[in-house]
Amino acid sequence: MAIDDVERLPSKAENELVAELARLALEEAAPEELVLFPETAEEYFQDPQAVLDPERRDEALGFGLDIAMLTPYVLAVATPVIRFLVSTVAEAVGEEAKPLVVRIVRRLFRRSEPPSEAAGEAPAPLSSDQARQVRELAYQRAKGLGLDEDRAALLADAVVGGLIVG
Amino acid sequence: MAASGTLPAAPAPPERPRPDVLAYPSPTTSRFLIFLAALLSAGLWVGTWVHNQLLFEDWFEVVARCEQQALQQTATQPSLEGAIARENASAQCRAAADRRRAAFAVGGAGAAGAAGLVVLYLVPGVIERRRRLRPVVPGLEPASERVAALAGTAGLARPPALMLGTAAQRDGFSYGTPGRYRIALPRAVAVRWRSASLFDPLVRHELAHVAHRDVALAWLARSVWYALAPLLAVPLVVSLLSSDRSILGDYLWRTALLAVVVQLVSSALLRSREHDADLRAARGMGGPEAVAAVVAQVRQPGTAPWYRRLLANHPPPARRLAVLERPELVTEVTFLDGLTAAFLATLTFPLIEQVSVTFLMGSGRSDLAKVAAALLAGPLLGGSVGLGLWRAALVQRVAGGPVRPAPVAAGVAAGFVLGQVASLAQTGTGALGGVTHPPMLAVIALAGLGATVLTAGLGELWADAAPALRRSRTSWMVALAVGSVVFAAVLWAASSLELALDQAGWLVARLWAVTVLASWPTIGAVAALAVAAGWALAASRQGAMTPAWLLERGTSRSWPTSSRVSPAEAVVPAVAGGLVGAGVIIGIRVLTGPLTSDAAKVEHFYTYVWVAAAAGAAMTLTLALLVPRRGVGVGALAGPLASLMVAVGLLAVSTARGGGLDAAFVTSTVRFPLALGLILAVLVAPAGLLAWHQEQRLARIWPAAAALSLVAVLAVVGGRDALTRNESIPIPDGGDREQALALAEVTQYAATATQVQQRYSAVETAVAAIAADQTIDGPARAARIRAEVLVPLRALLSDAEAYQPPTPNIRSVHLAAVASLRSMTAAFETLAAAYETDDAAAFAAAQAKLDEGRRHASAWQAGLANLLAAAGMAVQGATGTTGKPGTATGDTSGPAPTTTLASAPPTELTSNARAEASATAPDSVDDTGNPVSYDAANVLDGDPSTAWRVKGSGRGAVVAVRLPAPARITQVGLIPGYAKTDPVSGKDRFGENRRIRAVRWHFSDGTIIGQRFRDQPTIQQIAVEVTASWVLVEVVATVPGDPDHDYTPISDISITGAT
Repeated sequence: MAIDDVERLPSKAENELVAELARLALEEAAPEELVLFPETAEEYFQDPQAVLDPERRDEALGFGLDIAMLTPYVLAVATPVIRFLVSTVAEAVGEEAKPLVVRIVRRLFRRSEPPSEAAGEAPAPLSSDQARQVRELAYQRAKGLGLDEDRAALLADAVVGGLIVG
Repeated sequence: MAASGTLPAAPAPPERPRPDVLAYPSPTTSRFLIFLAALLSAGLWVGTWVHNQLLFEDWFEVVARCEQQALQQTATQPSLEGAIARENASAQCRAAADRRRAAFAVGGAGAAGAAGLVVLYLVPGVIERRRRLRPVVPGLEPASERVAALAGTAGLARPPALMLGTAAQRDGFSYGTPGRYRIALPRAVAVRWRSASLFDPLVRHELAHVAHRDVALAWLARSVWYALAPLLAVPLVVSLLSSDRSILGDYLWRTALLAVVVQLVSSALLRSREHDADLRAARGMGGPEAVAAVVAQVRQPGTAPWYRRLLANHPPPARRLAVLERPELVTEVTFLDGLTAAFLATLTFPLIEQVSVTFLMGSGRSDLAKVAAALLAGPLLGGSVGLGLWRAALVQRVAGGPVRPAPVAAGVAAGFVLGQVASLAQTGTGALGGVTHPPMLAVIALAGLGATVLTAGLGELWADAAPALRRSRTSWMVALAVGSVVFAAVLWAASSLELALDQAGWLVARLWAVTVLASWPTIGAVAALAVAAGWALAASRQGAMTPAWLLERGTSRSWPTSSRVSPAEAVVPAVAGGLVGAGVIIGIRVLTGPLTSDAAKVEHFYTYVWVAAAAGAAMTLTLALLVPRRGVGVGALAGPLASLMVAVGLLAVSTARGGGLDAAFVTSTVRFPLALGLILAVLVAPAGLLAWHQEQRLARIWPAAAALSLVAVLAVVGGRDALTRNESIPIPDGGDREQALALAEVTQYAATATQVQQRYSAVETAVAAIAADQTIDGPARAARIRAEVLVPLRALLSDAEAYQPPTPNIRSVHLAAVASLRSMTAAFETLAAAYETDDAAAFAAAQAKLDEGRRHASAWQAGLANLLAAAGMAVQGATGTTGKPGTATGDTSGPAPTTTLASAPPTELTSNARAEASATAPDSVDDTGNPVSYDAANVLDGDPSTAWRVKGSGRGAVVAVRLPAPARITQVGLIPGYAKTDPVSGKDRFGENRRIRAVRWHFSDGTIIGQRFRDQPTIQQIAVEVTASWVLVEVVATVPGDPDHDYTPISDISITGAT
């Protein structure tokens, strides 16, 4: 896999990582939304802005509510987090290991089953500093999307909770 | 004190009762009906308009011709009879044209309905495509199951399907068609199907919409402009494409008004349905808390100006929360409710009547068309305003607080006026305010105000008696019936009165008030309202409890009836007022003594009718002012009771004086005052608003009732000249005053006709100049026609159409002038086009239109000649010429105000004629004892001292004159009495016997012409243009002379012409 820029992956690869991390975060923050995660993620990746900030339709015959799923916000928050992780991992590994960045980043995700890759490729867990950086990144991103403090903190914690921290 | 030393807990305050505002059909239901009526009315409107744009010329020509024929057939019938007979004859004649117009109207309504159905069935598919809705994905089946479970508790046999939109959808809504409803939920809610605090309230709200069957209609209301805009645009397009745009402005403002009302109704019902669904969902969840919690999450709209709030499709969240907390807030009946319902009812009335007439044509009961229209338009108001006021009265007894009928009453009044003003029937007429008698607008407004207050008053009475009802259905069905009856009666009466005024002014209108008004439907309305009031008075009890069907939650409490009215409080004042009225009648009879003439008897009878009706209306006024809120409703019983008492008094006096008590007399004596009393009661009912919010009331009402009744009946007696004077009786009395008035009216019209002729002469001059100019080609000739002929001709036509004839006879004659000018205008328009295109067919069409114009002009000439002759004015001769431009000479054509005299000198044709009569009085003797015969031949002997005569009024008696050979008759006349002075006694037989006031001349060629006479023993003649071999004189009206000489004579008949 070619990496054009050490901070960025190709879209497809990045989206896969974002989706994976978001799913892990949702398991904590809003597990009930997982049943619709594939459809929602697909719509989000097609047009993130349309999902995050849809055209306000004054539904003449609707109840009047404005209730959004958490999933798009988790995806939006996970994106800069993944980019940060990719950048961090890319700096840490050598040039020859850069094609393995995706796999390495994936191993940072907290899973119920242990990873099956060869031991030589398993990176170190995130340090506390790195975890704090990730959380701050996620929190600021969530706030930037218009979420209130409580929800932004919940999201940020859920994202960090999806990672393995040393 | 408890052993622990703590105080016992204070008893919990009793739970505030929560009224079940949905015990009655919700306001949304009424608004939906009004919305559908608005849609169909718009269709009727557009259909009629399209007809007017495409076929008005043809229709108008038929109307003009039929008016002429009807006038000739009925010209000399007495006023009210003549008006009714003329209307019936005219309606029969133009039946086919009216049917075609009605077909256009029905077609328009059908198109509106079809468009609505198309929108209704297309919308769900469009919604699903545009919003990418699809059934729930695997894994969310529990959500569907939860919806089905909630649907079951909501009483739905078939749960709506659950649909999901895209991730961008953040609100829930329902859609679909009957039997195939859907609920679309935002994903965030669908995945939280376990949440009883979010999922359940939202879904129950949507299920409430489905259960109330308002989903499809709501989407129709939301999408109404897709159906309505194209429909309303059709006449606009037709008008823009046609050459006649003179009434385009008229159409635009009326359409704009209709469009605004439709939008207001649409927005109001969309707002109110949200409240209904919130309340139903709250009821299903055992209380409003859960629904209120979700409503609290609704986004707050910004502050909007008042007119934006009227057009909002959603109530603001604060309002929704307030209604959930206090459901009684949703029962307020607003000014807008009254305005929209009344506007549409009034607008729709003439359209429905017009369609109904076509179905009743030929049955002789086309008058029932108004009844049919009232029966359809009345429930629009009864089901919205009436039902709403009764609901409010009930609910406020539970929740506390007053009912405020003033705003909705004002709305109804304004809606009546607006609907009248915007009536399509008045488009292009220039009639001020949509009526030919502008004061009628004030009467209409007052009637709307009064009908609403009366309905509200009856609602208060029935609220007192609510505990006696076991089910809500009884209560609201009576509410619907009572409201419908009140408004239907008022709508019918207003329309019928307007017709009477249009036909013959106040003279016929006051006769209408004491005769035609007392139709059996009106009496039925009086009885229904009296029974409703009486039952409520009898059924209300002290100490009753709140009916269970009116409570959603909370403990039942004592039903507030401290201000209730007992039956005695209705009956005693009625008896007092009735006795006063009866006493006045007895007094009048005693003071006036025996009545010798029929005219005096009839006049007195009508006075008694007004007295009895006034006594009844005085009851309503007294109770309205002295018994807050309920008084007007009590008047619905007390008023008729008082009128009945006066009628009984009249019958007793009549019997005591030896008069008979046949069924017809008794029925008339009872019916007429009851019907008139109802209308007067409606007109005084607004007084109830003055005392509506008072709490104090007098302990005894009957003294005030008696006093006000005395004032009212004395006012009637004092003003009886204006109400029942002899001239109102349908036997034309003639006399100098009436003759002078008729002469003045005809003189004025003759002057108008002269102006028309002068202006048309100028047009003819221009035509002749264009015709004489041989140097110009076709297009140039067309340009000159457009500039020099059509411009002044259109101006003349416009002025002729705007002219308001003072009498029906003049109106019928004037219609021919308008028809002629229309035909001439169309002819010259076609001619100009023909010159531009050099189209032979167009030339022929123009010539045909010119011929048509000349025919109408001839009819105008004849009609005007008859008017002038009947008024005793000289007939002058004049001719006019009009030629087709481009021809060397012109033909005699164009409207002329006078008729031409026969070219041959006329001669008396009766010298060798024979006369026969349908009846002849027996021979008599003169004062010297010589025998005198009254054979029919006396009318032809040229001796005015001999006469034919018949016993009695002579109405319907006929004298036939058979000529020796067919002749061209140019003049007919007779001496309208016995022109003899007894040679011995010197007695004037003319004054002793009856004198003829009006006859009808029948000719063997089918012509029928009426003639009226001055009270003079001279030969009086009118000009005619007929060819006939015999002539009939039919006596139509006479005036009495000496009662001992009750005979109708004719001294001489004159028939002039040439064989």
